[in-house]
Amino acid sequence: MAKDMYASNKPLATRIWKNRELYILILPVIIYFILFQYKPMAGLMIAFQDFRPRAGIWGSDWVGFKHFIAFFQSPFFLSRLANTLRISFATLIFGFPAPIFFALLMNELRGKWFPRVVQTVTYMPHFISMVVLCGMIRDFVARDGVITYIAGFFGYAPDNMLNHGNLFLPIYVLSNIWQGVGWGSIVYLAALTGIDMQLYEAAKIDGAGRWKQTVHVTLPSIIPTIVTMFIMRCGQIMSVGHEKIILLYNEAIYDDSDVISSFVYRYGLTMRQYSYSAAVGLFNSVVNFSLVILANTVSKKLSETSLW
Amino acid sequence: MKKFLAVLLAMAMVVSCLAGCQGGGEESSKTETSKTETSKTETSKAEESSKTEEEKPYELLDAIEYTGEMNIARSSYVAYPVESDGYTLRWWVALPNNVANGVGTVADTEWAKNMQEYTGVGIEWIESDGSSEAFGVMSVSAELPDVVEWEWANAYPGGPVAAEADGLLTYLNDLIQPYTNGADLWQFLQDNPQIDKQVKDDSGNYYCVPFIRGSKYLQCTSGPIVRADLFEAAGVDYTTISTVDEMYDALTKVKAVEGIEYPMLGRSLGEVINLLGSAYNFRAGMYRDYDTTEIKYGYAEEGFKEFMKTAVQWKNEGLLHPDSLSIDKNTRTEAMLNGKTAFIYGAGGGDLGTYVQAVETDPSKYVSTIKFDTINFLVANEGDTPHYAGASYDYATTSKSHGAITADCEHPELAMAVLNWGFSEEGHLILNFGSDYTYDENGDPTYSEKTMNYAENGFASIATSMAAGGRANMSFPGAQDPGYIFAYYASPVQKQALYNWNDYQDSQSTLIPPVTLTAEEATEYATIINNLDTQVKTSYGAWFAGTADVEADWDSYLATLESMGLSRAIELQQAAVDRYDAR
Repeated sequence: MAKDMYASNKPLATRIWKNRELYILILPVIIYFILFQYKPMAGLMIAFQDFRPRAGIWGSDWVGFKHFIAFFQSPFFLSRLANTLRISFATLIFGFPAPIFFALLMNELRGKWFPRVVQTVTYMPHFISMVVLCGMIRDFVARDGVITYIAGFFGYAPDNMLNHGNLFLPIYVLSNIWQGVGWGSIVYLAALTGIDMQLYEAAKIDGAGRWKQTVHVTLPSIIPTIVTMFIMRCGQIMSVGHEKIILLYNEAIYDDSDVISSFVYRYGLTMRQYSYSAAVGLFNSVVNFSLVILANTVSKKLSETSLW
Repeated sequence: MKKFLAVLLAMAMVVSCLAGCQGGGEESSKTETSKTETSKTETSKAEESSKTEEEKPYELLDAIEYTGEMNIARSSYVAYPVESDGYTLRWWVALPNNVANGVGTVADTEWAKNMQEYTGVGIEWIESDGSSEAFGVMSVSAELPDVVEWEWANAYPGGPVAAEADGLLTYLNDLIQPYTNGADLWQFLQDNPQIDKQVKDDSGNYYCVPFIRGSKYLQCTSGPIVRADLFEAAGVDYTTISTVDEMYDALTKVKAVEGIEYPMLGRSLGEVINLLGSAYNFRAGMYRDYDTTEIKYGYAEEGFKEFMKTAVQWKNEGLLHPDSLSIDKNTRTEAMLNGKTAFIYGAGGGDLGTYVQAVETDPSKYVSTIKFDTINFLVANEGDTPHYAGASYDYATTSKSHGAITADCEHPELAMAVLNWGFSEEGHLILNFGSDYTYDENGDPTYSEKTMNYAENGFASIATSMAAGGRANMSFPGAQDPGYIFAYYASPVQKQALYNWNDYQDSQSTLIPPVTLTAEEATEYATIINNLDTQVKTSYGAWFAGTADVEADWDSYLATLESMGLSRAIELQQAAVDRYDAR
């Protein structure tokens, strides 16, 4: 490859032509983003309207911040916001490190078939449809479910665990880990394979055992990956997966389980308050966006790694 | 560093794809709605079709008396087949389960063929799953179908007035007149003034060709079902039970019967309310007080509190299944057939019929004494008449099958001709029972023997066989013939259920009639009622689960509902009902 390929003093068109294969490679992704991520943003306008589908965006009346104010004043605002943050941070604190630990453990596994079996088994829940998975969770914690049965040995009276609001958070977070730990560890495993073996050899010569090698070689080597993943993860703090919430919650525990995205789903799709739920969704996205910026700024200050 | 970059890029791709999957679907549906341009209603289309016909081609029938029970279609004004010039109507319809499980598609049913053959107008059926989502997508499509079967009174945001203003449907006032293609429908509405009042909006506009369930026995087809043999085994004469106290004593005894897990079972709190609410004189949600005719919100009534205490007590004593807020249908069927429960709320056809048929098909699977029966709705005091039991208005606004002619329809008069056919004397019978309809020993119209012998014709059930020939066992633009239900409810116990549930109650007047709110009212009302419903579900969920106490919470619960605008919601509904009464 000629060195001038990357030179920035050439006109853009020339550079694109020179690297056309690369551009073609990324084209589908760009199209995807335009179609499914940027174009829909125009639809956010309905948050400021009394949107009537048949009248369309241009035919509906503009109402300014009416729906935002209605949401902020709604009796559900604080509890739904609190639930979103609570469930999100719990997932982040417990769910984020889990794949890292798992990857480190996997890294220590030796032998041919054993690591593969472990890997396959732990990936599996990721490939089960969310609906089926939640059906399984519901069965496990039902009145006669296996988890309820085991909990019975520790003095838990047999009752559907999902009827108890205080149990929703642990069920949600733990099942999330079960579901995602294998898949989530792939990125870290990839990063681990990229570590220069010479570093380990050097550490060994210095007398480092396995533990010391992990702490002083492995972890520092994958810290950039961890930080990047963490920043990205921060952007999702408010977007607790509404599919899973909807599939798990019930009316008895709305106060503990209903989050903003499930609230948006119920009001928008089942109650057809399109504008109201669009406003709530937009609020959610704005908070999300702010959190990414915050996380990025903090990360930039504390370490050299940042997204931009 | 290069390696790290590579990994980072790969990662970013994966993550962004995943993130895209999560957020994309929801938002993309929002923009789809934005694509469509506004199409304004061209009311002139409707007017054009009803060109005044100077000469009167036929004599109108003499008026007949309306006694409160529906008068069946009796006119044959419109001359079929009509001239269509090869115009094909595009007809949006929800594919009924009984069609899907039978002949497969609407176009393959006899009734769909008959509609076209007899009226002379071709129809292209556009099937949907009948969901709000499917309707939403259809309603923003660039060219609307000619006819849309949907529920317009409540299920369209803003109601029929908004649907007209949005350019979705056209008013049919000029089409439902003597000497037009809607003349038979006009005659039917003249014959049934109570129905006429229900199907118009407050300004007197006809906005759809309605699905009419005018006969008494069609209006309550779900109610309390008992496992008679288990009550008898406990030494209880279930036929005499009429109050909650009597039921309590009975269930306490039934609980001791071998095999019983929980003598009473609900699939939702709504079902438990259906079983006990009539005894506490309230309905779920908005309803009209029987004595004062005022609008009330059931969940804020004292009766609901008392009901809730009873439900919790019964749950705690093991009489009511502790999962009664959410039990699926199969679990209930299994419990009922195997004697784990003995008292439920269910439909005479889909539930009771299923049980009876299951036992008939393979009696060896069940105890030999197995016997099902029904009882009337419970009341507060011995000898009372239930006022808050199952009921329905003649204009069946819970069904998504009222045919509207859309603003994009080029030939509304042809669409009306097809819709009118079901209200003509012969069309009514053919549409209900199929072209091979016959009469039973009482002289009432019913299904042919061929339809009834479903197995010989390769149908899995009587319902799918009926749905292949006529539309009577589904909802449809037209008047449902009462003969259908007695043919469909094959077993004596099912027929008796219709008498038990309908003969000794007076509940229609406590339902909210088919009111129309203005678009602004509808939006405001929807916001309040959605918040109320969310709060109510949360509260009763906690009470029923036992994590909160209804007695202790009641005052703050009422205060919360009030802060959400309960009074305003009642006020809006009251105003709408007052306008309805004044029609």
